[in-house]
Amino acid sequence: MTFDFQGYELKFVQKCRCKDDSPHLYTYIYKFFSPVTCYYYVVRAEYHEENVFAIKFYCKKDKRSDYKYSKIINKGDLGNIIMSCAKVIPLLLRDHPKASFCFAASRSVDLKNNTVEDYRHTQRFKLYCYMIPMKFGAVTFEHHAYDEVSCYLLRNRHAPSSRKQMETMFRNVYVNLSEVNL
Amino acid sequence: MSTAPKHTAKLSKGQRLNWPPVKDSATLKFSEVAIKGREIPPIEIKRRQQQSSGGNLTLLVP
Repeated sequence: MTFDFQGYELKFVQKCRCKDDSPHLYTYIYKFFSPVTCYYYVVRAEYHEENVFAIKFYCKKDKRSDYKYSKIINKGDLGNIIMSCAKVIPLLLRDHPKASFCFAASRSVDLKNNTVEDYRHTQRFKLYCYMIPMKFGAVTFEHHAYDEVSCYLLRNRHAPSSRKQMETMFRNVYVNLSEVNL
Repeated sequence: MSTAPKHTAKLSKGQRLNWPPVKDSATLKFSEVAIKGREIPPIEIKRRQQQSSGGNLTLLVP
Protein backbone atom coordinates (compact mmCIF):
# COMPACT_ATOMS: atom_id res chain seq x y z
CA MET A 1 0.00 0.00 0.00
CA THR A 2 1.36 3.44 -0.88
CA PHE A 3 0.52 6.59 0.97
CA ASP A 4 0.12 8.94 -1.96
CA PHE A 5 -2.60 11.26 -0.69
CA GLN A 6 -2.21 14.91 -1.59
CA GLY A 7 -3.90 16.46 1.43
CA TYR A 8 -5.67 19.80 1.44
CA GLU A 9 -4.49 23.37 1.47
CA LEU A 10 -3.58 24.62 4.92
CA LYS A 11 -4.75 28.09 5.89
CA PHE A 12 -2.84 29.91 8.59
CA VAL A 13 -5.23 31.21 11.25
CA GLN A 14 -3.13 32.81 13.97
CA LYS A 15 -0.19 32.59 16.34
CA CYS A 16 -1.08 32.43 20.05
CA ARG A 17 1.34 33.11 22.83
CA CYS A 18 1.18 30.76 25.80
CA LYS A 19 1.51 32.72 29.03
CA ASP A 20 1.40 29.98 31.64
CA ASP A 21 5.16 30.01 32.26
CA SER A 22 5.44 26.45 31.02
CA PRO A 23 7.93 25.28 28.37
CA HIS A 24 5.04 25.60 25.89
CA LEU A 25 5.80 29.03 24.45
CA TYR A 26 3.38 29.63 21.59
CA THR A 27 1.14 27.92 19.05
CA TYR A 28 0.66 28.27 15.32
CA ILE A 29 -2.91 27.45 14.34
CA TYR A 30 -3.93 26.30 10.86
CA LYS A 31 -7.13 24.94 9.42
CA PHE A 32 -8.23 22.99 6.37
CA PHE A 33 -11.47 21.67 4.90
CA SER A 34 -12.23 18.13 3.80
CA PRO A 35 -14.86 18.07 1.03
CA VAL A 36 -15.36 14.37 1.75
CA THR A 37 -16.34 14.65 5.39
CA CYS A 38 -17.58 18.25 4.95
CA TYR A 39 -15.80 19.25 8.13
CA TYR A 40 -13.13 21.79 8.93
CA TYR A 41 -10.11 20.54 10.85
CA VAL A 42 -7.80 22.52 13.10
CA VAL A 43 -4.06 21.85 13.24
CA ARG A 44 -2.12 23.15 16.22
CA ALA A 45 1.67 23.32 16.12
CA GLU A 46 2.63 23.98 19.73
CA TYR A 47 6.17 25.28 20.06
CA HIS A 48 8.09 24.23 23.16
CA GLU A 49 11.48 24.85 24.65
CA GLU A 50 14.22 22.65 23.19
CA ASN A 51 12.93 23.81 19.77
CA VAL A 52 10.25 21.13 19.51
CA PHE A 53 6.78 21.39 18.01
CA ALA A 54 3.99 19.14 19.25
CA ILE A 55 1.60 18.66 16.34
CA LYS A 56 -2.06 18.20 17.24
CA PHE A 57 -5.24 18.19 15.23
CA TYR A 58 -8.96 17.80 15.77
CA CYS A 59 -12.24 18.19 13.94
CA LYS A 60 -13.45 21.75 14.39
CA LYS A 61 -16.94 20.67 15.33
CA ASP A 62 -15.45 19.07 18.47
CA LYS A 63 -13.48 22.12 19.51
CA ARG A 64 -15.30 22.46 22.83
CA SER A 65 -15.03 18.80 23.74
CA ASP A 66 -12.51 17.59 26.32
CA TYR A 67 -12.03 14.60 24.06
CA LYS A 68 -11.54 16.42 20.78
CA TYR A 69 -8.21 14.68 20.19
CA SER A 70 -9.65 11.25 20.98
CA LYS A 71 -12.91 11.20 19.08
CA ILE A 72 -13.38 9.14 15.95
CA ILE A 73 -15.15 11.02 13.18
CA ASN A 74 -15.61 7.86 11.12
CA LYS A 75 -16.50 9.62 7.88
CA GLY A 76 -13.48 8.54 5.89
CA ASP A 77 -10.84 10.62 4.05
CA LEU A 78 -8.25 9.68 6.64
CA GLY A 79 -5.30 9.72 4.23
CA ASN A 80 -5.93 13.27 3.06
CA ILE A 81 -6.63 14.50 6.58
CA ILE A 82 -3.40 13.05 7.94
CA MET A 83 -1.44 14.36 4.96
CA SER A 84 -2.89 17.84 5.45
CA CYS A 85 -1.60 17.79 9.02
CA ALA A 86 1.79 16.46 7.92
CA LYS A 87 2.16 19.35 5.48
CA VAL A 88 2.57 21.71 8.38
CA ILE A 89 6.06 20.32 8.99
CA PRO A 90 7.79 21.56 5.80
CA LEU A 91 6.00 24.88 6.33
CA LEU A 92 7.40 25.25 9.83
CA LEU A 93 10.87 24.12 8.79
CA ARG A 94 11.17 27.22 6.59
CA ASP A 95 11.16 29.47 9.66
CA HIS A 96 12.52 26.92 12.14
CA PRO A 97 15.09 24.90 10.21
CA LYS A 98 16.41 23.17 13.33
CA ALA A 99 13.00 22.32 14.79
CA SER A 100 11.99 18.84 15.85
CA PHE A 101 8.43 17.50 15.86
CA CYS A 102 6.54 15.12 18.06
CA PHE A 103 3.15 13.45 17.83
CA ALA A 104 1.16 11.89 20.64
CA ALA A 105 -1.25 9.40 19.14
CA SER A 106 -4.33 9.87 21.29
CA ARG A 107 -6.29 7.04 22.74
CA SER A 108 -9.66 6.74 21.08
CA VAL A 109 -12.65 6.98 23.38
CA ASP A 110 -16.12 5.57 23.03
CA LEU A 111 -18.26 7.76 25.21
CA LYS A 112 -21.40 5.69 24.70
CA ASN A 113 -19.82 2.43 25.84
CA ASN A 114 -17.55 4.14 28.34
CA THR A 115 -14.50 2.44 26.96
CA VAL A 116 -11.12 3.74 25.95
CA GLU A 117 -8.20 2.39 24.00
CA ASP A 118 -5.14 1.17 25.86
CA TYR A 119 -2.05 3.36 26.08
CA ARG A 120 0.20 1.15 24.02
CA HIS A 121 0.00 1.04 20.25
CA THR A 122 -3.15 3.06 19.75
CA GLN A 123 -4.69 2.83 16.31
CA ARG A 124 -3.48 6.37 15.62
CA PHE A 125 0.04 5.35 16.66
CA LYS A 126 0.02 2.43 14.25
CA LEU A 127 -0.99 4.79 11.48
CA TYR A 128 1.71 7.33 12.38
CA CYS A 129 4.37 4.61 12.55
CA TYR A 130 3.37 3.58 9.05
CA MET A 131 2.83 7.00 7.51
CA ILE A 132 5.65 9.11 8.96
CA PRO A 133 8.53 7.03 7.53
CA MET A 134 6.70 7.09 4.18
CA LYS A 135 6.74 10.88 4.04
CA PHE A 136 9.72 11.95 6.12
CA GLY A 137 13.16 10.65 5.31
CA ALA A 138 16.14 10.03 7.55
CA VAL A 139 18.32 12.83 6.16
CA THR A 140 16.68 15.64 8.11
CA PHE A 141 15.30 13.70 11.06
CA GLU A 142 16.07 10.88 13.43
CA HIS A 143 12.92 8.79 13.91
CA HIS A 144 12.03 7.65 17.42
CA ALA A 145 8.93 5.65 18.37
CA TYR A 146 7.67 5.37 21.95
CA ASP A 147 5.46 2.30 22.03
CA GLU A 148 4.51 2.53 25.71
CA VAL A 149 2.85 5.91 25.34
CA SER A 150 2.06 5.87 21.61
CA CYS A 151 4.27 8.84 20.76
CA TYR A 152 6.56 9.53 17.82
CA LEU A 153 9.45 11.98 17.71
CA LEU A 154 11.12 13.39 14.63
CA ARG A 155 14.35 14.80 16.05
CA ASN A 156 16.06 17.23 13.73
CA ARG A 157 19.65 16.14 13.11
CA HIS A 158 20.71 19.79 13.52
CA ALA A 159 18.84 20.25 16.78
CA PRO A 160 21.01 21.63 19.56
CA SER A 161 19.00 19.72 22.18
CA SER A 162 19.50 16.05 22.83
CA ARG A 163 16.71 13.51 22.65
CA LYS A 164 16.97 13.13 26.42
CA GLN A 165 16.40 16.86 26.94
CA MET A 166 13.31 16.76 24.74
CA GLU A 167 11.93 13.74 26.57
CA THR A 168 12.48 15.37 29.94
CA MET A 169 10.78 18.56 28.81
CA PHE A 170 7.72 16.69 27.54
CA ARG A 171 7.58 14.52 30.62
CA ASN A 172 7.36 17.66 32.74
CA VAL A 173 4.84 19.47 30.55
CA TYR A 174 2.49 16.58 29.83
CA VAL A 175 2.34 14.92 33.21
CA ASN A 176 -0.96 13.21 32.48
CA LEU A 177 -0.65 13.02 28.73
CA SER A 178 -2.54 9.78 28.20
CA GLU A 179 -4.90 10.01 31.12
CA VAL A 180 -8.56 9.86 30.17
CA ASN A 181 -11.34 10.36 32.67
CA LEU A 182 -14.74 9.68 31.21
CA MET B 1 -31.40 -6.78 14.25
CA SER B 2 -27.84 -5.87 15.07
CA THR B 3 -27.02 -5.16 18.69
CA ALA B 4 -24.13 -2.89 17.72
CA PRO B 5 -24.63 0.73 18.73
CA LYS B 6 -25.62 2.88 15.79
CA HIS B 7 -22.56 5.14 16.06
CA THR B 8 -20.18 2.22 15.55
CA ALA B 9 -21.92 0.99 12.42
CA LYS B 10 -19.04 1.85 10.10
CA LEU B 11 -16.35 0.23 12.22
CA SER B 12 -15.38 -3.35 12.00
CA LYS B 13 -17.20 -5.51 14.49
CA GLY B 14 -15.43 -5.83 17.81
CA GLN B 15 -13.01 -2.99 17.22
CA ARG B 16 -14.30 -0.96 20.10
CA LEU B 17 -15.40 -3.87 22.20
CA ASN B 18 -11.79 -4.92 22.69
CA TRP B 19 -10.95 -1.76 24.52
CA PRO B 20 -10.64 -2.01 28.27
CA PRO B 21 -13.17 -0.36 30.55
CA VAL B 22 -12.11 3.12 31.57
CA LYS B 23 -11.73 2.18 35.24
CA ASP B 24 -8.92 -0.26 34.38
CA SER B 25 -7.06 2.05 32.10
CA ALA B 26 -7.36 5.66 33.12
CA THR B 27 -4.87 6.00 35.91
CA LEU B 28 -1.54 5.81 34.13
CA LYS B 29 0.55 8.89 34.70
CA PHE B 30 2.78 9.91 31.84
CA SER B 31 5.40 11.00 34.35
CA GLU B 32 5.51 7.48 35.80
CA VAL B 33 5.83 5.62 32.53
CA ALA B 34 9.24 4.34 31.61
CA ILE B 35 9.86 6.33 28.45
CA LYS B 36 11.73 3.93 26.25
CA GLY B 37 12.08 5.21 22.75
CA ARG B 38 13.40 3.08 19.97
CA GLU B 39 15.17 4.71 17.08
CA ILE B 40 14.05 3.52 13.68
CA PRO B 41 17.34 3.22 11.77
CA PRO B 42 17.67 5.13 8.48
CA ILE B 43 18.20 1.90 6.59
CA GLU B 44 14.88 0.59 7.88
CA ILE B 45 13.12 3.81 6.82
CA LYS B 46 14.60 3.54 3.36
CA ARG B 47 13.61 -0.11 3.14
CA ARG B 48 10.02 0.70 4.06
CA GLN B 49 9.86 3.51 1.54
CA GLN B 50 11.17 1.32 -1.25
CA GLN B 51 8.95 -1.58 -0.27
CA SER B 52 5.77 0.45 -0.42
CA SER B 53 6.41 2.44 -3.55
CA GLY B 54 9.09 0.79 -5.63
CA GLY B 55 11.23 3.88 -5.10
CA ASN B 56 8.78 6.42 -6.53
CA LEU B 57 7.78 7.97 -3.25
CA THR B 58 7.44 11.74 -2.89
CA LEU B 59 8.79 12.80 0.46
CA LEU B 60 7.55 15.90 2.25
CA VAL B 61 10.96 16.26 3.88
CA PRO B 62 14.01 14.22 2.79
